[in-house]
This record gives sequence, C-alpha cells and structure tokens, in this order.
Amino acid sequence: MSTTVDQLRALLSRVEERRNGPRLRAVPAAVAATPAPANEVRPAERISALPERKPPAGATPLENAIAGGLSPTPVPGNKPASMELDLDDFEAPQTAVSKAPVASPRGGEVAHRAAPTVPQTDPFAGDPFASSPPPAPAAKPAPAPAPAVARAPAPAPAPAPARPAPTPAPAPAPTAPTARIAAAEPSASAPVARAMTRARVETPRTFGELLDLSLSLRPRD
Amino acid sequence: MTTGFDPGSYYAFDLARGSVVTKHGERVLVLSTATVGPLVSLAVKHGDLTGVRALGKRIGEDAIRSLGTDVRDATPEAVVTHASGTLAVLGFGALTLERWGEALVIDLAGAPPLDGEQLGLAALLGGLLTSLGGRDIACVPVADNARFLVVHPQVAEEIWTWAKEGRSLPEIVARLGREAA
Repeated sequence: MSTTVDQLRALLSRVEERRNGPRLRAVPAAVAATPAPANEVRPAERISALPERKPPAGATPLENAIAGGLSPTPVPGNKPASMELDLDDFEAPQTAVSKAPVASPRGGEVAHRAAPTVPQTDPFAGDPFASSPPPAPAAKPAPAPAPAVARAPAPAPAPAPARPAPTPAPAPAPTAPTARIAAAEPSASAPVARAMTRARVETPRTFGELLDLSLSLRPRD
Repeated sequence: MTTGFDPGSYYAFDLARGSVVTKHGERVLVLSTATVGPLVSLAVKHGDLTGVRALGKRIGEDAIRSLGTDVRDATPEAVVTHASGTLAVLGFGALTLERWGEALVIDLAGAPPLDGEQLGLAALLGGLLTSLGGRDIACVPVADNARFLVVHPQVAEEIWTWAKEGRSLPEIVARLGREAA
C-alpha cells in the first residue's frame, strides 16, 4: 500500500513539474511569508477570481487527502476498519437515502405554496393606500378595520341607511365593463375595443381625461 | 405618434459584476414570488406599504420613458400598452383597463400571489398610476379577483370597507357619483 502512495506521489510531482515548471515544486517559506501588497487581493477573496480557479500548486493537499483516505483506522480487534465492512452494512443507509428525495421536494413545495397565503392576524393595521409611511404604532388610527375573518359577507348585514338599489336608480350602474382598454402590443392586429358607453357617459379621448373622470367619483350619501 | 412597447434588451446581465440592470440604468433583483410574498404580507401586516408603492412609482416612471410622450395627452391604449409591458417584463401580470361607467378599473391578470388581501398589488398599482397621472391616486382591490378600482385617495378607505363587506364591483360603482363641481 505504501508503495502505491509513493508511486502516486512521485507521479503527481512529475505531472506538476511538467505542467507548471520547477518553480512550483516547492514554495519557499520566505515567499509564502511575504506580506501581500496593500492592493493585492487577500487569499480568501481569490476564490471567486477567475485566474485563480486552477488547482493549487504543490502536492500538499493531495498528499494529505491520500494519506488520510488510505490509513486504516485501528479498532479494538486490531483489524483495519475496512476489513469489517460487509454488504449488509449498506442496507440501512440505502433505504434511508431512498426515502429522502421523495419526502423532501413535496414538503418543500407545500411550504412554498403555503407561504404567501398565511392568514394574517392583523391584515390592515395601517392605511395601505397612503403614499407616506404611517406614524408610530402608538398613533395607530382608531377605527381599525375588522380582521380577515370578517371579510366574508356577514349573514345579517348591518342595517344600511336606505341603501339605494342599483336597478331603480336613475342612472343604472353597469354590470359589466363598458369598455376594455387592452395593450395593443401583444396582438397588434386585434381591434382595440371601442368605448360602448351609454349616451350620458362621456367618452374620454386621452388618458388624463379618463383618470380625471374616475378620480372625481365620490360615495353617494 | 407613440410606438409599441419594446421589451428587447430590457435587462442587461453583467455576470462579472453579478448585477442585473434595466435599460434605464436601474439595478434590479430577480426574486422568487415565494420570497417576495411573505415580505409584502409582512408589510401589509404592519400597515406600511410605502416601499411597494415606491416600486410602483418606479415602474410608472419606466413606462413614461418608454411611452416617450406626455402621458396625460396620450391615448388610453398607448398608456396601457407601455404600462402593461413594463409590468409584464417585471413579472407582475398583464394589465388591462376597464371602464365601468365613469369608473376606471384595472384588471391585472396573472398577477403573482403576494398577500391574501391583494393590498400589495393595490399599493403597487397605486404607485404606478400616481407616476402616470402626476398626482396621488389609490387603487382599491374589489371583490372580483385581481380587479382594482382607481379612486381618489380620500375615498379609498371607504370603498375598501365596502369591498370587505362583500359588495360586488357593480354595487360599488353604483354607489359612486361624480363630485359636484
């Protein structure tokens, strides 16, 4: 076994020498101990730099890896650990590994999907329509809206003060969009929907007019 | 005459620096909705969606640059084309405007699920329209999924209460009237 290691070490050393030249055979201690210039990248940062991605020169890491991998571990029975391995020893790890890939993606997927829809205990603590951040938590507005549970339509709605029905109103409310303005880009040949508004509704020609019309709406009392 | 939205070269990927920059020079992050969703939910929970609204304003500014003309004088179709295109390249869904009588409604199809109440998207769209309109505008999520009513910020709270009571979009529109001059 030791012969093999020595041969491998010699072979590696020759390969390194042929590839990198004799200067990489051994790093002089004086060079290694020389402090880096102020503008030089420190070793920890060299990992991400492209020119440094080649394997490190010198045989030291390989040497350690090989020696560590081939040295038998002494056991109480005075036998190398590798001699006690049997095929049965691998059964348990195999079954354990076979379960992991199945369970893990499912769990992860469920967790990801559930994350955005986590019920919020206090979904509307502040004013989401405000363009400036809310004041300190102590100055929370008094009429805080009900939590998410109350979002569903209540079976017995609060007595609305003479709520006007939509149909008998003088100007019946639309039950469908009166016009749909879509982007012309995805289907340039498709006809842009025209405003099929009622006669009483103005047809804004510009985006500014369209906005003004909508922003002028207020709740009817 | 405005041109169509050009999504080409919207992003520039600089792998050496590890950065993604839009063609307008703004550095952006490409994030999973599974990451952004909980962050927006947290912002909703704390009642501070200023950051999301600011993002909407930036998107609106991008759309204005893409449009290239004065927004107020542009046709609604041209504005929608560029606003929708800008939102789409950022992955926020396909925007369409609807007129419900005199009310303006945004339909954001295929929008990512950010928070259960859609308030994050409402803040985003409010910021977008604020940029486009040049004044403070609010968008209120209404009962229909992914539909947002465009209103003055002063009445947003009341309309949101109606929506939470379960009133449909036609009902809400019927309860609105033009402010007396």
